[in-house]
Amino acid sequence: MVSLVLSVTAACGVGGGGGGKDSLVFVSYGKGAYQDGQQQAWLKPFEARTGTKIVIDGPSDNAKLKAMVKSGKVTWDVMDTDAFTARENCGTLFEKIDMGELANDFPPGTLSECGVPDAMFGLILMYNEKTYGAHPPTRLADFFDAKAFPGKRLIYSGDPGVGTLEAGLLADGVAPKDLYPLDVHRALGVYDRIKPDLTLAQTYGQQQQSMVGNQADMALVVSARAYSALAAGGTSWKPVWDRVPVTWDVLTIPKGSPHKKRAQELIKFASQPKQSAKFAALAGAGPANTAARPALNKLQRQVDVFGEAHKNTQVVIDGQWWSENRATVVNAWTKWMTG
Amino acid sequence: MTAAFTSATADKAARPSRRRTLAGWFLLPATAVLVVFFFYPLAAIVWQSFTQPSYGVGHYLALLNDGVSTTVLLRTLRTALVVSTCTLFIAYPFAYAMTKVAPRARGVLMLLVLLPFWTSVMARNYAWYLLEQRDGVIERLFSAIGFDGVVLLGTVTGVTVAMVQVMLPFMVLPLYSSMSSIDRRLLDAAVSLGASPYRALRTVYLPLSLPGVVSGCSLVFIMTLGFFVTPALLGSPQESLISQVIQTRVSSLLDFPGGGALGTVLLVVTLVLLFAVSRISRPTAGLSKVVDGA
Repeated sequence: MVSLVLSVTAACGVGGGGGGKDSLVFVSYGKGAYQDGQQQAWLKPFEARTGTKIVIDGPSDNAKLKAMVKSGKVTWDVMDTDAFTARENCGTLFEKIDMGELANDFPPGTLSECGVPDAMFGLILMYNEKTYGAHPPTRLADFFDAKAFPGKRLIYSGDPGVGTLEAGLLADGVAPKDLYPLDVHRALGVYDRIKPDLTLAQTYGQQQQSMVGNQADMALVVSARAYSALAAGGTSWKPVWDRVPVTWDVLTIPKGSPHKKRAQELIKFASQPKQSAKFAALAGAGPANTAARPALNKLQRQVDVFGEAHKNTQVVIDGQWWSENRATVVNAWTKWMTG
Repeated sequence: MTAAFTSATADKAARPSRRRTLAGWFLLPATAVLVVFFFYPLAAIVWQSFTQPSYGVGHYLALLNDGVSTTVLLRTLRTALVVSTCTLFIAYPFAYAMTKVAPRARGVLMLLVLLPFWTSVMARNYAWYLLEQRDGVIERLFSAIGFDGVVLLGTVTGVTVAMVQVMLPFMVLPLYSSMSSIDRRLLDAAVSLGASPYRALRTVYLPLSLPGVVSGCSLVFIMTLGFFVTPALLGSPQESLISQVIQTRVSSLLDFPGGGALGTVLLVVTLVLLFAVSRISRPTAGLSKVVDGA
C-alpha cells in the first residue's frame, strides 16, 4: 500500500505540469505469478529503458472498464483481458492498436484489431495418479466415461470460453476443422453424461485448491493453472496428451486512455520474442510470440502445450466465432449449470 | 445550527415542532450519504433496466422466458425460507435459555453468539469449506459412525448448514431482546389461573415473543435473499442463487441493464415481503401492547 502511494506520487512528480505525462497505469489480475511475471519481464525493463513510471492497478475487470468508459473517466492505459471481450467491444471499450511488422509474430487468428495476445493457455485433461494409478485415462473421451473411469470430475465453470465446450466436442469425435460453428447443444449433451460426477469450480483459485487437496480425480484445467497446482504440491496430477483447446489473453488499450501512444509502445515492447519468452517462463503460460523460446522449469515442462513435444495437440479456438456468439453461449451454459 | 441547539437545550419547554426541525438537521448527514451513494445509483440501475438499449420492459420479459432467472429466483426464495426456519428452531430455545439462566451464564451464552458474529464472514466460510470438503472433519465424523461418503461441499445441504450458522446471531439477538422484555409474572398468573405450564407457554409466552420472531425471521430471510459469499464458495453452480446470476450478467456479459432488471426484481420481491410481514405482525404488536397495559 505504502509503495503504491509512493509510486503514484512519484509518477505525478516526474510528469511535471502534464499531470503524469510519463506514467502509465497497467492493469492485470492482481498479485500472483502472472502479474509478477509481467512486472519482471515487461514493466521493469520498460521503465528502465524509457523512464516511464508504471503503476499497477487491478484486478482486471471488464465491468469496471465499461463503467469507466461510460462515465468518461478512464484511468487505465494498458489492460490484460480475455480475447473475446476485446474483439466484441473493439472501438467502443477499446482503442485500435497498430502492431506494424510485429503483426505476423502471433499464432494465426489470435491477433485482433484491439487485442494483442500476451499469454496462451491450453485446456489440459489431468488425472490424479492416486486414484487411477495402474489404469490411467489416456484420451479426452475418458473424461466423459464415468463407467470406465469412476471419480469426481473438476472443471472451471466461471467462463465456458476457455475451451470447455470444445473439449466436449473433440472428445465426442468432432474433428478440429469441423468445430465451428460450435454445436453448443451437443457439447452440453456430452457434459450431461458426467453431470452427477461433475464439480464446478467457480474460480481458478478454487479449482487449483481442489486439485492440490485431492478433492477431485480428473480435471480439465488451464495450463497455467495446472502448473500452479503442480507447484503448490499437487504433484500427483498427470497430464493426458490428447487434443488441447487453446485460448489466449490479450493486452488492450481502454478507450479514452490518457496515454495511448505510450501504451502502444509498451504493448509492442512486451510482444517481442525476448520479453514474451521471459514472461512465459515466469508465469507458466504459453508465449504469445511464436519466435519466443521460454526457458521452462521441470514442472512447467510437464504441462507445456506450446513446446515442440506437444505442439500438434493444440486446437486454437475461433476467436471471431466466440466474440459473435459469446452472449448466447454464456446464457446456454448458465442455464445448463443452474437448471 | 449551533444557536438553534443552545436555545433548544436552554429552553426545556421547546415546542415539539421545533424539536422536530432540530431532529431533521441531525438526519441530514445520513440522508445526504444515502441519497448520493444509495438512492441515486439505485435509481440509475432501475432506470437503465427500462431504457437501455431501448425503452420498454424487454429485459423483464426476457427474464421470464430465459428459463434460468425464474428457476433461480424461486430457488433463492426457497433457500431463504429454509434457512430462516432452521435458524428460528435453533435460536428460539437458545434465546429462551438466555433469559432463564444466571447473569454470568448469560454472558457466556451471549459471547457464544457474538464471537462468530464478530469473526469475518470470509473466515467463517473458509472454515466451513475445510469442514465440509472431501476427507474433512464432517466426512470423517460420519464415516466413524458408519456413514461413508458424506461430503457436504457443493451440495444444497452444505450451503444451508453454513448459512444457518452465519445467520444465527441475526435471529438470536432480536429474539433475546424481545423475550427479555416479557414480564414473566404473566406466566405465573396464567398458571395460578389453572393453565398447565405448557399451555401458559403456548398461549401467553409464544404470542408475546412473536415480535422478536417476526423481526428475526425477516432479517434472516432478507439477508439470505441477497447472499453471495456462502453459495459462491461452498455451493456449486447447480444451486446458485440470484446474486450469482446477477454477477454473471454484469461482469461476464457486461449486460448492465439485464443485471439491473434482475436486481430490481429481487428488490421488489423483498419490499413486497417486508410489507406483507409488517401487515401480519401488526395485530400481534397491538395484542402485546394490550397485554402489557393489562
